[in-house]
Amino acid sequence: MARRIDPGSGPPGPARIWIGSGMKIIKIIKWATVVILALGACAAVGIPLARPEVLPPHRYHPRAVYYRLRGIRVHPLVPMDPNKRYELEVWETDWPVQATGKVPYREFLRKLIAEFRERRPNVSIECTFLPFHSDPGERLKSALDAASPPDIYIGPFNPRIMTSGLGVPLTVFFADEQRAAFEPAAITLTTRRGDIWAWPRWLELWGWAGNAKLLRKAGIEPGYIISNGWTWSEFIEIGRKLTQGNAFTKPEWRIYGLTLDTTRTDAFEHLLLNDGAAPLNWTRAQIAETAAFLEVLGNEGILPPEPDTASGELLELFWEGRTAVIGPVGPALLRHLWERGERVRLGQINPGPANLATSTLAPAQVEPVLLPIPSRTRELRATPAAAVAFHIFRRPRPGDSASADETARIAVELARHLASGRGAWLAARLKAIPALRADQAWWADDFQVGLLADLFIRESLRYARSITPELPGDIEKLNAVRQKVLAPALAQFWRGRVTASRLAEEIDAGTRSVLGSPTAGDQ
Amino acid sequence: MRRTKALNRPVMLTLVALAAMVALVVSGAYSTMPSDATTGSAGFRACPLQCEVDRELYLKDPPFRGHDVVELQQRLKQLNIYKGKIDGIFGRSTAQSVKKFQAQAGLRPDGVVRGETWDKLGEGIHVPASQATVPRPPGKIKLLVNVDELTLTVYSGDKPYKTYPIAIGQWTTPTQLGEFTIIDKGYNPGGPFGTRWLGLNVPWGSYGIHGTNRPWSIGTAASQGCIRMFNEHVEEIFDWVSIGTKVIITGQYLEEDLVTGVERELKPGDTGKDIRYVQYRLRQAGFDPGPVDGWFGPAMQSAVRQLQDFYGLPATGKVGSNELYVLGLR
Repeated sequence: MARRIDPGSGPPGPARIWIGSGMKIIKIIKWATVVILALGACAAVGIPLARPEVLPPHRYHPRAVYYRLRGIRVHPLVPMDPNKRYELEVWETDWPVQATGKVPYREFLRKLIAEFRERRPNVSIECTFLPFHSDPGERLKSALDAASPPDIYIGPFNPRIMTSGLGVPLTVFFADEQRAAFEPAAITLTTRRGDIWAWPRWLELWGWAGNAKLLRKAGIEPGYIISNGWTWSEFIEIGRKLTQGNAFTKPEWRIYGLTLDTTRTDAFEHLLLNDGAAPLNWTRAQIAETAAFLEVLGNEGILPPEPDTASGELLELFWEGRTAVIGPVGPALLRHLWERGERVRLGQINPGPANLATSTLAPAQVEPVLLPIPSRTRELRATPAAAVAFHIFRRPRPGDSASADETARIAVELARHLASGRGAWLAARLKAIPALRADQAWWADDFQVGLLADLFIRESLRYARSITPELPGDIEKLNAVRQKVLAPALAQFWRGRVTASRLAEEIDAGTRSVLGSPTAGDQ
Repeated sequence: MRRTKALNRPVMLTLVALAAMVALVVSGAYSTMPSDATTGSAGFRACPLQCEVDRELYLKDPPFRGHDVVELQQRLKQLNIYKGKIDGIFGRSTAQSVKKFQAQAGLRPDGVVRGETWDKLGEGIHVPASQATVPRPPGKIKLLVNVDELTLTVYSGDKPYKTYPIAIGQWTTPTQLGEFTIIDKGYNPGGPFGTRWLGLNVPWGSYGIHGTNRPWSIGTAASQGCIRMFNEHVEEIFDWVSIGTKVIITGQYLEEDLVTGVERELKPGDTGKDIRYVQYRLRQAGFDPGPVDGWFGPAMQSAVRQLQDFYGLPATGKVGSNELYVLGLR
């Protein structure tokens, strides 16, 4: 009887060893293939996700797919068709400056645009200059309400872009290294709710300006103030030193510690900011503290007796050496102070008549220097700041959403071109600070920024706080509060008709009335 | 019968006098302007001495002095009649030259220079071809006067249409630079104003564009501030322009001529050379004040507010010390 051989029983024979080994190898190969394919697939998706530049822009680029899944329509990987014609509409503010060589800014901008078109000949660009004095923000609002904004709006950062439904968030265009190329304050001022909403162009800072010679005579070193800031109580002490001779001086020769432009609400709002109060989010206590500080300055004779009248002579008082500090000073007034200060320094201007209070013989000497606004405490130090930026909109194109994406993508590229290099020339003319760090070096040369001004700018940028409301709806509210509450109440305060506490009550009550809701809180 | 004759004589004399007066009026011996819907004023507005000098010149002690004497001497020298110095003094040699010229010209040689003598002096001056058949330029017309090149150019829109030679004010009485408009037109003002007058809205004086009885002065700085043209030329442009036509007077020495002190606060409605200078500086600073015409109008107020807004200055709409400082005028 034949015996059935059980392959599993008994010791393995040579054939079985071979068969077993071969199957293992096949299994290994299978698994290795799966693993390799899986790794390959991951690499195919992951590498382009991490390093998008390894593949050309394409709608099926992994990164592009990723953006689409996140709902981002305009991103750096939107492909552009070189055979398609694109039309961009740009709104720019007609800044009142002249280019070097007396070429108007409009011509300069057109040259920049022409340079861009050499790279992109299939792109035509129409530029509209909005009159400086008109409120470009209002015109943008109207355009957004009509769903017909430009492709690029260049102006002060406007939070309306967030809620318009047509604004293009630019966060995806800012890789880490690109973000680092910008002044941090520029990114902060154009960021809302975690997204960067505009391509920063330049920064505007506000401060006060002082006469360094008068300050030094009173034992105050401006560099120290710029580096360390000064508190309200320190400012009062300094003001007392500056005005100590006034009791024995004719009124027309008295020196004042501070002259403010009291006809606008800016001076008061900037001081509120330096008490920790963001626009529209002030408390009654903060208003009362700020007003009390100003009240003390008035009572001590540190402010001129008639602040409204003195506002009309702000620069005269400064250049005649009769006031040590003036404010608020923004980029344009800074430009005037710097230009005239240079002419005084070079002996091209007689700085003013002799001030017998400071010197019996020499004419008044004025050395302008930028100073931070005093804060209630050092920790609350804040520099009022705003960004001017390129706002990108995705204009609806019915039936051709691809073109809308592509056009917006080109708009970002144009904004990048206009913002940097020679485009920063305008920032230099306006004495605003280029948002890109790389431009600040040549801008400083062109500006011929002096040591103290450079120090002021560096320190101020660290403490930059936005004076633009956080949310779109707050813009109208703030304008309404300024017109209906702040301006009339402050007018009475400056004339001495209301006390600081009464002012706080009126502003608080008025703000609630206008907003129809409580303010940040009563204390 | 005798009473009737006695009565008839006074009546006849009265009737003759009345008829003579009617005849004078009808014959147009008085310069009356034809009705012209484009003219804005009742007729020729006499240009005072500020613009041109119009006086009779004769020998007297002390002698007449002035640029009109200079012009007389220049012309007589051109005609090879006067050999003396061109010194602007109507002395004996000038008077003798005048008499000699008058005799040659068929005038009474009395040595008195009046209208007819000036007219005769101007005869024979070559007027550059005026192309009488040149049609009216199309579109909006403006005039550009260049005091450096001594030309007046008619613009049709933004394109130059035709250019004419002119005479301008002397350096002591310069032609006012700026941007003005024509506010009146006149026919045959006569004398040094020639055959046509176009008045400009210069706030601080009476200036205009007019013809001349001293055509040899064209191409020189000769007037008291007005712009002189050959009569043929001013007659040509007279029909082209109307009240409100813009006249821009410009030149290389623009700033030097405009510089003036600003010693007061400037507010809407004010006029003056200081306003004109501030307008010029506003424009240089990048703010558009409208025409640089010395009038603080709505356009200038808007420009001032823009400046105040830009610099963060009190928004008064007036030009005070703050504004003068930022404009570099203090």
